Amino acid sequence: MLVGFGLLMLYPLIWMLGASFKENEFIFTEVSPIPNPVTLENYEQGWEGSGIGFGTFFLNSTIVAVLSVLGNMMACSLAGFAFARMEFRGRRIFFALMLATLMLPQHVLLVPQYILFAELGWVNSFLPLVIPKFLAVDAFFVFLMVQFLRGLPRELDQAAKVDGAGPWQTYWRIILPLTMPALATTAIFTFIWTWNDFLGPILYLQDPRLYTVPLGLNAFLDASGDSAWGPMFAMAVLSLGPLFGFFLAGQKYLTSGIATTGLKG
Amino acid sequence: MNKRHSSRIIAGAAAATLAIGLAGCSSAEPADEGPVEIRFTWWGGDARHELTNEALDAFEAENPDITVVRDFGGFDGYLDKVTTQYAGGNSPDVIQLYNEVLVEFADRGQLYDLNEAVDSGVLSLDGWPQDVIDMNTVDGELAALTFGSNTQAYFFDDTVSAEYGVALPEDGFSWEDLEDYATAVTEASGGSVFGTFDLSHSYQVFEVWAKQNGEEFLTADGIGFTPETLEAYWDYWDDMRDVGAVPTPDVSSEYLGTPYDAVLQGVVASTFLFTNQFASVADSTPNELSVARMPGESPSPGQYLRAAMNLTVSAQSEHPEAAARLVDFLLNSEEANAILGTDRGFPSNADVFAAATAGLEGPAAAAAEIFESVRADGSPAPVPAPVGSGAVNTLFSEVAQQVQFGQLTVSEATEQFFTQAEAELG
Amino acid sequence: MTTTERAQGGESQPSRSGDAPAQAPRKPVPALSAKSLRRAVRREKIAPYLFLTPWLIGFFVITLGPMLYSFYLSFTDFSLLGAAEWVGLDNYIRMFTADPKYMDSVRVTLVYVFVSVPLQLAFALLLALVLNRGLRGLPIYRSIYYLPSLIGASVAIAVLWRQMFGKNGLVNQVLSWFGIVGESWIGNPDTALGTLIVLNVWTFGSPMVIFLAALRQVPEYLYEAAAVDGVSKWKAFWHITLPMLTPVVLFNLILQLIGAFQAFTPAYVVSGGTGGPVNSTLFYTLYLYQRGFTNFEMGYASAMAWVLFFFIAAVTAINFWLSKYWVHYDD
Repeated sequence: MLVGFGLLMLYPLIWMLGASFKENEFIFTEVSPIPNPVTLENYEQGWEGSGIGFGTFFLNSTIVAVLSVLGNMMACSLAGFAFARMEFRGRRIFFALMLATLMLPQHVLLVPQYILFAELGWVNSFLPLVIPKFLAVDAFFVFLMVQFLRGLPRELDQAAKVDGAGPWQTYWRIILPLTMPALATTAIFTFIWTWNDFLGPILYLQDPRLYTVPLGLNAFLDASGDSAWGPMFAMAVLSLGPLFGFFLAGQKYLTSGIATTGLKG
Repeated sequence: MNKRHSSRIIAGAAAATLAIGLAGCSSAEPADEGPVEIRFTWWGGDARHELTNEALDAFEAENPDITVVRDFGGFDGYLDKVTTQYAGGNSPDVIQLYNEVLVEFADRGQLYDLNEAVDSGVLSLDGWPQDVIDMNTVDGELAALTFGSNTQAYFFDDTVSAEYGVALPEDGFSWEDLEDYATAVTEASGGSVFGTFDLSHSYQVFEVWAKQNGEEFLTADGIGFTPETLEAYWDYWDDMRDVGAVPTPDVSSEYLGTPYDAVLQGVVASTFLFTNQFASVADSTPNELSVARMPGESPSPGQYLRAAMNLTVSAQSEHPEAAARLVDFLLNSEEANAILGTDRGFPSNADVFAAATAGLEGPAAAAAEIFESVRADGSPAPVPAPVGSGAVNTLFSEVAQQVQFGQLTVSEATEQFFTQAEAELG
Repeated sequence: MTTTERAQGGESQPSRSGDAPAQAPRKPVPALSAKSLRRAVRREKIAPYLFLTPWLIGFFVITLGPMLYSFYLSFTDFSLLGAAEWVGLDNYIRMFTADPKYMDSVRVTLVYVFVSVPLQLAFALLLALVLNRGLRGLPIYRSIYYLPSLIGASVAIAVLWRQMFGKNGLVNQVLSWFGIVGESWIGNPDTALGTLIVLNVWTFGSPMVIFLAALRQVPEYLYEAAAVDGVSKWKAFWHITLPMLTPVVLFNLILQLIGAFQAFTPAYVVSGGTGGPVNSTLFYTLYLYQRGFTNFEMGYASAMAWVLFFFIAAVTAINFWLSKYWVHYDD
C-alpha cells in the first residue's frame, strides 16, 4: 500500500520527468507521460541556460544554500537555547516579538527591505540572501529549536550546572548533540527553501552570472507562448537532484537523538 | 544619487571580506566621459535571451566605452522586480515595458523624455510613423518607443478541421461565419473538440469588436464604447455557449490566460492570438495550423498595429545618453534588427523592416502577411490608456466569467462593468 | 523517581543531582569561592544576551525597521513609483466599506485555513508514525514522500496541477473508468479551492519531517519501561508518544496556521495570478499582492497586511493560551 500510494502521489513528478524527454511539439499534445520518441535535446539546450549556463546557476545556488544552512543552524540554535533554557529579563516580550515577525505577509516587507539593503550597498550580491540567516531572521527555525529544546529533560542542565559547566559548555557539549534531529530539520528545510527561493534572488541579483537555479528556470518562461517548456522541465528535474540528495543525506540525522544515543535514566 | 555611488564601494569591501561572489559592482563611475556601465532589463524566453545578448555584444563592440549589464528573466515576477528597484532608487537604465503599465510609469514621471535624446541627436526617429510616436507620447513627453509591434490574429487547426471535414472560413469571414464553422466542428466531432474558444473574457478581442463598430475600448478620458456594444459582444458569446460552439465555462477558465494552449491540447480547433506568438505556437504541435485576420474585419476593420512591448529609459538613470544610444542601436540599426529578427514583433521603423524580416518562412512568414495586410488596411492605434486601465482590464475578465458561469445575465454584467470601471478610472 | 513513574505520569520534575543522567563521567564538584560565585552569577545574567546577540541584531536591524516602515505606509497612498502621501485611516476604512473583493478574499482564506491545516497535520502525523518504524528501506520511503514538497512551490506546479485536475487530467481519466464524466476541477469555481487544499495536503512533507524528528526525541527508556509494565502499544502511544509530541504538535499547528493564512504561491501559480475562476481562489495575500504590485497601491496593500497581522497574532495568542491545557513540557 505504501508503494501504491507513493506512486499516485508521484504522478506529477513522473509526468514532469517524462515531459523533459519529449520533443517540444509533444509535451502538451501527448497525454501519456511516457515520451515517444525520446530526446535529450531539452537537456542539452537547457544546460546552456540562456548563454550563462546552468553550471553557474547550480554553483550559485549551492553557495547561497550552504551558507544559509550554516547561518541558520548556528544563529537559530543559539537563540533557541536562550529562549528555551535560560532565564533573563525581557524573555517573554522578545519571544513574542520573534513570533510576531512571522505574522506579517512578506510582500509588504519587500520594498522596505530592498531600500535597506540598497542603502547598505548589498544589492547585486549574495549578501541580502545570506547575512540575514546568520542573524536568525528566520523565526521559524528559532521557534522550532525552542519547541524541541523544551522537550528535553531539565535534569540535563541541572546536572551540567552542578558539574560546573557554564552556559556555553551546557549548550555545546550537552544540549546541541541531543538536538541533532532538530538541527537536521533546520538544515534540510533551509537548504530546500533557499534552493527554491525565487522572490529574494529575483529582487537582489541583477547580474545573470549571479543567478540561482529558480531564476534560470524562470528565464525559460515568457508570458506569451514563447516559452521553452522542454528545457525548463529538464532543468527542473536536474535541480531536484541536489535537493533530493541533501534530503537523503540529512534525513539519517533525523533519526539520531536521545533514542539512539542511549540516554537512559 | 551619491548614496548609490558610495554604497557600491561598501558593497565591494563587504564582499571581499566575506569572499562571496560579487560581480557587477565595478569601480567608480566618472561622469559621462570614459567607460560607463548601464543596466538593461527585459523579460522573455530562452530564444529571446540568446538573440538579445547577441545584439548587446554587437552594441558593446561598437561602443567600447559602454558596458551593458544584462538583467533578464521570465515574465513572472518581472514587474515586481522593476517597481521594487524603482522604489529603492536603483532602477535599471533601459527597461522593456509592456503597454498596460507604460502610463503608470510615465504619468508618475519615472521615464526619461526620449525627445531630449532626439534633440541632442543621439536618437533618430527617421522611418518612424507619426501614429506610433503619438501612441508613445504621454503629456507631451516621448515616454517610450515601440520595441516590436504585432497585431491580433485568428488561427485554425487545419488538421483537426480536415479530420472532421469542416471547411475553414474564407478570408474576410464575419463573426457569424465563425459561429457556423465552430458549430460544425463541435457537431462533427461529437463534442470531443469544440469549434473555437470562448473569448467573452478577453478585453483584447473586445477592443477589436469595438473598433469594428467605430468605437474604442479606452480613450484618454476613460471608457470609449457604449453599453449596447458590450451587450452585443457578450450576447454573441452567450449564444456561442448555447449552441455548443465553445467549451463549457470550467474548461474555458482553465485556459483563460493562454487560449492557444487549448488548441495545442486538442480542446478547441481555433482561437485568437497575437501575430508574434504564431510561429512558436505552430512549433509546439505536430498539426498543421493556419492564420487569418480577426472575424468581422469587413466592411470596417478593427485590427491595428499595436506595441507588443516598449523600450524606455528610466528617469533615475545616471547615464541617459548612453542609455539612449542603446535604444537607438536596438531600434534603428540594421545590424541589431537582423539579429533580433521578429522575436518581439515587427519593427516599427520602416527602414529596418526588411533587415528584421529577411528570410522569414513558414508560420513566421504567414504571420508577417497578416501584419502587412493590417498595415495596408487597418484601424489607427489607440492613444495611451489612462491610469487605472489595468484594473479595468481585470474587471472585464472577471465580470465576463460571472456571465459564463451563469452568475450574472448579460445586461446585469454590462451595468456592473460600467459602474465599477468608472469607479476605477476615477 | 523511577522510570516507570515517569512513563506513566508524564509529569517530571527537576531531579536532585544524584540520579541525573549525564553524558560524560562526572567531575568532582569544585568548591565555590565567594568571588567565583559572583562571577558565575554575573555570567548567568549576561550569557542569555550573548546567545541572543545574532537574533537581536537581526531583529533590530533587518526586521523591525522594514516592519515599522510598512506600518507607516499603511496610512499612506503609496504607488511604489512616487512619494507616499499621508491619508490617515482611509485605507482601513475602504477595506471594510468599499471593497467587495476584499471580503471575498477573507472568505476564501478562512475556508482554506480551516480545512487544509487540520487535514495536512493529520496526514503528516499519520505518515510520520508509519515511517517511524524500523522497516527496511525506510529512508527511501521517507524521501519519496518528501518529494512533493520539493516541487510544491515551483513554477512547474501550474502545469503539473493541470495534468492532475484539468478537464483531461489524471483524476478525470480515473473517473472515466467508472463511467463518470468529470468537469475541470481547477476551472470550476466550486472545486478550484478544493484542488488547492489537496495541493497543500500533498506537500505534507515539512510537518511530517518535524514529527519524525520529534518522535526520535521521545526517550526509548519510556517505552522500555512501559513494555516491562505490560502496557499495550496503543496505550503507550496515548500516554507516552502523544504527550511527548505535544510541543511539536503546537509548533506545527501554529506555523501551519500562519502559513495558511499567508498562503500565496499555490493560488498565484495555479490560477496564473488571477485568483480565479471568479475569485474562488483569491487568497488574502494574493489579493494584497495584486493591489500592491499590479495596481500600484502599496499603501492599501500594507494596510491589508497589518489587518492580517493582528488577526494572526490574535489566533496565535489564543492557541498559546489553549496550549496550557494540552501541551506537555518537561520544564
